[in-house]
This record gives sequence, C-alpha cells and structure tokens, in this order.
Amino acid sequence: MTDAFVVLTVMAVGLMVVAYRQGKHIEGLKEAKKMFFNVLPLLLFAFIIVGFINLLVPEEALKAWLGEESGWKGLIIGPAIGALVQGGPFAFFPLFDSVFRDNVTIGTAVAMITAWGMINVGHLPYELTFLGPRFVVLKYSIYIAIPTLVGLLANLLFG
Amino acid sequence: MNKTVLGMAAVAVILALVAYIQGGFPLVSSGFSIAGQTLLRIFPLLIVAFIVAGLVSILVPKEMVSKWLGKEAGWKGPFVGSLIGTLVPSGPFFFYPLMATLIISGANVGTMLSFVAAKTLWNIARLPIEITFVGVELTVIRFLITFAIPILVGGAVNLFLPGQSDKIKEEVEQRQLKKS
Repeated sequence: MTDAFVVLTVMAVGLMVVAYRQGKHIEGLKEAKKMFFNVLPLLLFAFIIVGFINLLVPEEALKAWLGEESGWKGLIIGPAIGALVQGGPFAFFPLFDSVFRDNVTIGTAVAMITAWGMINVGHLPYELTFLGPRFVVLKYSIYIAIPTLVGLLANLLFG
Repeated sequence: MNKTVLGMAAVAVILALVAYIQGGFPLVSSGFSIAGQTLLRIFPLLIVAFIVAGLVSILVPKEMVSKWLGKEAGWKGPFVGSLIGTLVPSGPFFFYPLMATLIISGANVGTMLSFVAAKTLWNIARLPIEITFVGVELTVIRFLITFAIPILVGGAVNLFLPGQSDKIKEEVEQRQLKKS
C-alpha cells in the first residue's frame, strides 16, 4: 500500500511537471476532479460491497471447501475460491500461505492464484462502473476457463 | 450511470440483509466499518490515482494511444498492452479508470484485455509479496505457465472480435464523458 502510494505520487508529480510545462496542469486537475466526483457514489457502494463480501465469506468456510482429498475437483473449487477472496495481495497471499498451500496440488495452487488475479469478483463493481456490462461479459466469457486450464497444465507438467 | 448506482446499491442492501440474518446489527455494522476502514485507508491513494488518471487523459495524445494500443498498432498492440500492464502499479480503483481513459482515446478492447490480464497475472509490484508467501518455486511455475496468456487473449479478441471495440468504446463514453 505504501509502495503503491509512493509510486503513484512520483507518477503524479512527474505528470504535473510535464503538464505544467505545456500549460495543461489546471485542465488535468479539473479532469481528475470531474472523473472523481462522477464515480464517487459508485465507489462508496463498491467499498460497502467489498466490505460485506469480506465479512460474509470467512476464512473457515474457505478452508472447509478445499480439503486434501478434493483431487481434480480442486481445479474447479480452487479457482472459485480464489475468485472470491478479497482484500488485495496483502490479504490473499498470507491467506494462501496459511490455509491452502500445504493442502492443495500445484495445479490447484496455480489455478487459485490465477483466478484470484484474473476473475476476482471484487473487481466487478469497478469494471461495471468504469467499463460497462459489454466489456464485463466479454472479459469473463474469455477469462473464466483460463485458471482451470493453466492448473491442469501445471499438474501435467510439474505435478 | 444511475442504473449502475441503483444496481450496486441493491447488491449492497442484499449483502447487508444477509449479514443481518446471519448476525444481526453487530454484523451489519462491522460490514460498514470494514467498508469505512478500507475507504479511509485507500482514500489518499485514490486522490493521487485520480490525479494521475486525469493528467494522463489530458497529456497522452490520442494519436499516440491509437498508434501504440489502437487499430494502427496491429499485432504489436497486445504486446505493448501486456508490457504496460506488467509495469503499472496499484489496484482496481486505479487501473479500471485508466483503461476507460485509454479506450476513449482509441485503445483496442483486445489490447486492453491483454493489459488487464498482464496487470493481474504478471504485475512486478506484486511479485515481492507473492514470492514472500507462496515461495520461489511455485511463483516461477505460475509465471511460466501463464506467461503467454495476456498476449494470446488480446491477440485473439483483436483478430476475431474486432467489432467489439467500437461498441465498448460507446458504452465507456456514455459513462465517463457524461456532463456532470
């Protein structure tokens, strides 16, 4: 989080300097303000939704769904769980380490991490807000099978 | 825009109801407090992120976007999109608005799918923490196996579904350029 803030601040300052030289800095900040207030109501609801998903999908339930004996089902359930876990990398990777790593095959692990990134349900509010339903349908219809397929590949090659 | 707000409000209300049924008011209020804490934590980041997105939208000339990420980029688009996705920092509240800005400026949708796949699969800013918790071996295996995916999905969409770009651009424009 701090790293992201530092990197974004450096980007913002750099862009401000460039914009100032072109006399466009005020225009840029106005554009930023307009974008921000346009999406603010949506962002507030997005945070509420993410908060409740966080609360209603508890760690224990996730653990129960994925035992050692799940076998090939892990390639379906694993990505489904990955897609549900919220809170960014600093929440997901520690959870993965403490709950799943020792209980799943390489394929399930790869499928779960891939799904957490590519088809995370927590991204849906943002995607709908900024890009619209057509993009969301296109993205998910292409992405949905990828985690399971790469998991299968990982099991075949490295399992 | 308003429809989306209503839809999301409805989802929030349903989730709050589920929380109420499961744990009464204490659970509902902790849901809101998690939301509030997340918002407070991310707020400074959000402000800077929007400043970056706003400045990018003013500074990046449309010709440049369409040259590197649009139709003119051809087969190179998904490669450039994947590379940018690998490098761009921060979370979904930053890169989805950025994608909207780039689409309005003329980026192809397939190329944006390359971007978002690379952002969520290969992002270098995430690599240190993934290695910390997942371990080097599994991280390397995951990178090797998913390596070609961002380029393949973007290339395939640009090749087989070229008509989607304009339709999605229209939808994004309706959302973002609406006079406030």
